[in-house]
Amino acid sequence: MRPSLTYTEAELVQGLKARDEKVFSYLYDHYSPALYGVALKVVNDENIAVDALQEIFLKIWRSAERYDPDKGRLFTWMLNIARNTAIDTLRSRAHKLDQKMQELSNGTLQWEKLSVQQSVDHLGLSKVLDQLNKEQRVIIDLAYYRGCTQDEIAKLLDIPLGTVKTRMRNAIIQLRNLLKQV
Amino acid sequence: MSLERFISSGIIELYVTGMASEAEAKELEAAMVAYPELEKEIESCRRDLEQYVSLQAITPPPAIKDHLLRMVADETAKCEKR
Repeated sequence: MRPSLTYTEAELVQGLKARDEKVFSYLYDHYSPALYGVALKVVNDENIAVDALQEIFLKIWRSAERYDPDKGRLFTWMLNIARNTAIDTLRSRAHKLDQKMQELSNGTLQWEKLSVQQSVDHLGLSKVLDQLNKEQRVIIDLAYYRGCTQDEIAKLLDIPLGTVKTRMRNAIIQLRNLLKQV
Repeated sequence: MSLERFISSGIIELYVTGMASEAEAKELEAAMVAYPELEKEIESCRRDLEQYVSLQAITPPPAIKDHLLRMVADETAKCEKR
């Protein structure tokens, strides 16, 4: 799947911190699909996701010196930047939209409809997703991609807080079992 | 809390999906110091979640890369001038 690495993780980190444009280009080639996938899942709109992706890579470039290898792998750090940037984009857009809507109707914006629609172009993925039920996917996606808190999920799904915890745990256990089969 | 209780409590799953409360996150981070196995378990759970995320990778439109590389090169040039 992934082309063989020509940099070690340590070399990538060092290159990024030294502002090596070749390393940046390499990181883009290898990780932009994963990070774009995150942005798309969060914002659910290609144009906004493209803007978010550029912002994500600029943040990776500009805040490289803040990356601490002791706190986790480079990929984890980049994924967190991707997720947080995309969530921020979504929230600021929702906020702007909300203001507009209030100006127009003085009403409140409803929480956007939950979408579990996927662009399934991966055999392994469809196998995994088919076996995770909708309930399990929704809870993982709300937490991971939307950055929802336990309280928010309990309210959104209209289930008790305790159920949120057990459902999340079972969803992740099921996901991990499925991934072992891919 | 014992190691087994941590593993079966669901707190690890909440933590890696970013859903743990501040108190839960602090509790888990403190426990990691006491139980190195816990750290391994968290990292293993995180890797699986990241694999799930990676499975949903989508290639972005090709024009973005050139645009980004130009922006980055411009920034570098500006920094060097200073």
